[in-house]
Amino acid sequence: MKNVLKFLTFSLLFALITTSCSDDKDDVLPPVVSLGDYENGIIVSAEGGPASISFISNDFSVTENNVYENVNGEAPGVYLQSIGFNDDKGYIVSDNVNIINVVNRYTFENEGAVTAGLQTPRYIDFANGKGYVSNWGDGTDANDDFIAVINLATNAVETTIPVGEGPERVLANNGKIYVSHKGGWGNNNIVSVIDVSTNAVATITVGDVPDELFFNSAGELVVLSEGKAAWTGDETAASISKIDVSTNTVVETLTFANGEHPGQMAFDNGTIYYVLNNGVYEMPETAAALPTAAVIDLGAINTYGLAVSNENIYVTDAKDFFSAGDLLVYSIDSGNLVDTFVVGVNASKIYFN
Amino acid sequence: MKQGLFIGFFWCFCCAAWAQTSLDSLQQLDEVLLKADRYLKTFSNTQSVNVLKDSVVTRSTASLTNLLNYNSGIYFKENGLGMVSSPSFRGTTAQQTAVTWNGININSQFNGQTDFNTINIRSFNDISVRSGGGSVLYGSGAIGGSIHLNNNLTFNGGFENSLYANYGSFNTVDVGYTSRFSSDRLSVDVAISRIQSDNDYTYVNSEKENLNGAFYNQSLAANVGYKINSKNSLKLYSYVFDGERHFSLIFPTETPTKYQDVNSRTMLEWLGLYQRFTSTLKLAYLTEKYKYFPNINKELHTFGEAKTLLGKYNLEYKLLENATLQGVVDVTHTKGESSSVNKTNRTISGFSLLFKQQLKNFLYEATLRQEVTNNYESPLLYSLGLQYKLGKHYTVNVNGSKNFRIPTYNDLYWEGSGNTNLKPETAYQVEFGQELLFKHITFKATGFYNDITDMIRWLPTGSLWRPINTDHVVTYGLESQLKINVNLNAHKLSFGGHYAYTVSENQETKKQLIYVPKHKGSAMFNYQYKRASLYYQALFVGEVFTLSDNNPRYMIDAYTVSNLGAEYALGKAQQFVLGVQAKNIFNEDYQSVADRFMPGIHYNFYLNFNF
Repeated sequence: MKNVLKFLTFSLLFALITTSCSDDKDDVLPPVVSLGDYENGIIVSAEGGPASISFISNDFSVTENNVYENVNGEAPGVYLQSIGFNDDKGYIVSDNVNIINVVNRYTFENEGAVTAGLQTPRYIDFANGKGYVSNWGDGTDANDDFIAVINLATNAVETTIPVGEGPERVLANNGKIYVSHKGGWGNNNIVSVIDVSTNAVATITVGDVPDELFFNSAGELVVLSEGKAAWTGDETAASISKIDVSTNTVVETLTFANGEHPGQMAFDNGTIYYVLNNGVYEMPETAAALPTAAVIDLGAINTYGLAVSNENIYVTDAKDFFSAGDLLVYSIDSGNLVDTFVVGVNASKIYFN
Repeated sequence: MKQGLFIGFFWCFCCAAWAQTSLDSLQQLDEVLLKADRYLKTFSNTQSVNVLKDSVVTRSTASLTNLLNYNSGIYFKENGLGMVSSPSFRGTTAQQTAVTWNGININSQFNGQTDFNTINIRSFNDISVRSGGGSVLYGSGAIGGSIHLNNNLTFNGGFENSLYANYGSFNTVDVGYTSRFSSDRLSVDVAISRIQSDNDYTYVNSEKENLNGAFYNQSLAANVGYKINSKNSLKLYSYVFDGERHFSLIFPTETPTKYQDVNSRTMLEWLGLYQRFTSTLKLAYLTEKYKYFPNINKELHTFGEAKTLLGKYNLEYKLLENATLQGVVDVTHTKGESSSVNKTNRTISGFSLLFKQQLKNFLYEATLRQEVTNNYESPLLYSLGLQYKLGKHYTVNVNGSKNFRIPTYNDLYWEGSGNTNLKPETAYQVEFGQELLFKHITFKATGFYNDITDMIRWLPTGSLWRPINTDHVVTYGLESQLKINVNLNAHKLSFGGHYAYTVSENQETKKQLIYVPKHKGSAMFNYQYKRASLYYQALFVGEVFTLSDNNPRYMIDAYTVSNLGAEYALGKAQQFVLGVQAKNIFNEDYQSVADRFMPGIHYNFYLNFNF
């Protein structure tokens, strides 16, 4: 309703301006029409329960929690895993609910949903006019994991592509879909490469428990593998691998010291950021060795999410996992805490809209 | 199959024993009751013990959750009707309420708690609620209080049968059959019960339906007592429970899951009364098994299985005419294994000393217990209770105790995460109770204060979630109970009510624990005229927080649920009772757990036939 009013106001304003100034139309730029309340800001998704989405405007002047619920009158599932953005749409992936709610990314009005054919969906990315969603299947079943291919016009699962256990992040690049296999309920050590024209799957072996991945300036795929934790009884080292995607081979591996298991990784402006033991580390994408000292000490928080944009590092603190979390904003330059916003319960993903 | 065989043998034994008993000895003797849990009588004088009557049980649905929700101050967090249900007794956690079966602690070895929807109340003939600390007597978890499921054996009761059948909304069938035979030396008691429900109610004010909520459970209890001679008697208790629940969904697109429980308990007890000595030897074997199917359509599941062998010897010595001393030695050996816990054995030995003396109007009881195990450091547990009777109508009780909740199998041995350095959670408790007792009115009120430290919580340490001793919680409040009975010629009126005020505060954050209401009350009015009765039950649960920061946005609203029932007794001895109930008559739209909506108005019919 709010948005309808807004639209009407803008239309009226636009009409007024265009009519009243019809004489000197050359001098007047058409006004910037807002695409919605949630444009030009930071979107923080929280797993819950209750799951929720928060918005913070880029200038930090406007904040709103429970965006999805405020707009649509109902909560976005219980277990909000991630959001994917494509054109003017946002795809809200709720893993335990086996659903992806499709919204207008600027208004967050629900425009449909993928309700069939998913099982524990995790992440979505887009290529070839289609959505590619990683699915764990049954947690206890190592052999039923798949990528669901979504027809974006009908929101139906068009086909599924079987992959190895625990497909996690999905990244589309140049006609290929790259999937890190964190392992779901188990552990895995591969990256799947799907050719979207044939749906053929190739795999690349990387370090154990690969999670975040991105393309660096040189066009190499960079993957953070957290390594198997000590409790598995088979602890392995964490690493950052660089993959030449023309040959699908690992060309460089930076290995962490034994016992070090970095959590989140982000990439911005030629710099790699990751979190290890509540310290934020940064390194140039070309660095041949891992940094030895953290640039930011996050203190005693439960770091749950990391993102970097322009001059700031954004980190979510999940607190005790049973209360509202915080979004902490650190300045890259000074390393100081610039701002703190209260966000949702188990806030985990940070997006720039 | 094994259980089937066991039951077969059991019946053979019973029949053989029956045949040996001469039937003419049945007549003319007073009924004698052998209590399964003697501590409830002997060492619970300075605390409140509330025995739930048969009539109350008849009017309740089969789950222990429902029975206690309407008849005690205990709060229940129920994940939808019939689903996982955990108590908060005096503001404590689910692991801080002990459930005992004929005196033996039966909380799960894996998670340390009892799911109150996996207990069918029709298998027991005495269900009691004991408020406050009792770890010396009942072990781990007896912090907020304890629930006692007992099968008392009657002698000289003849042959009695009781049939209960209930059919209601959502295709719910609840049946129970109890058969008892007792002579002066032999007592046999068998109870079979089953409940099943489609549990597919539609939500109040919504088109939505409770999906995937079907459940059933069945239990068999068989108990035998045999008086060998005037001094010695043997009792054999046995119980098997088998249940399956489909866990209800919040969203229709969720993957449906199911959960199965199979529990069995057997205990042999030898009771000897030798002048000043009373000797009790108990040998018990308990098994618990669960399977969780994350997808109802697949065979894949996770599981847990624990077997516990327990031996307990209790020697009671009448020191003076008014004073008794008891020494207890027990050994509990558990073998447990689950999808996430490697096969692990644990042995706990315990030594207790109990003393009680009655001096005119003054009674005091003192207890001590030390457990020894190689798993963790076990604290010395104790209690001291004083009772003073001021005249005929007024009694004052003071009780102080130290209690604990031991780390569970999951806490200690969870693959990779288990923390073998855990300490038990410990609680210091004081309570002050007053009781007014008149012919028609009983009023009890108890103020309590609990200081609980080293609460075990799972927290991430790096990428790994591990249990650690962290929280410090103080709970305090008031429990009260009022009973009124008035008879005016053929008109009988009765009222029973409970009210509990509870503060349960994390000492670091100063916030109320989630899912602990400050106010909880229940009431029952009954009006009986000759063969007809009309009754009204009400439950009030105050608002609860669902987030630890006590964010008011995510509070669950308070709710009041009212039930109305009517009964009519037929037959010469009014042995045939027909009843009808309408539940949630005001169609309250409520949830016990966030997004887990409970049913609106629904109905059931029942009959209870004693023959």
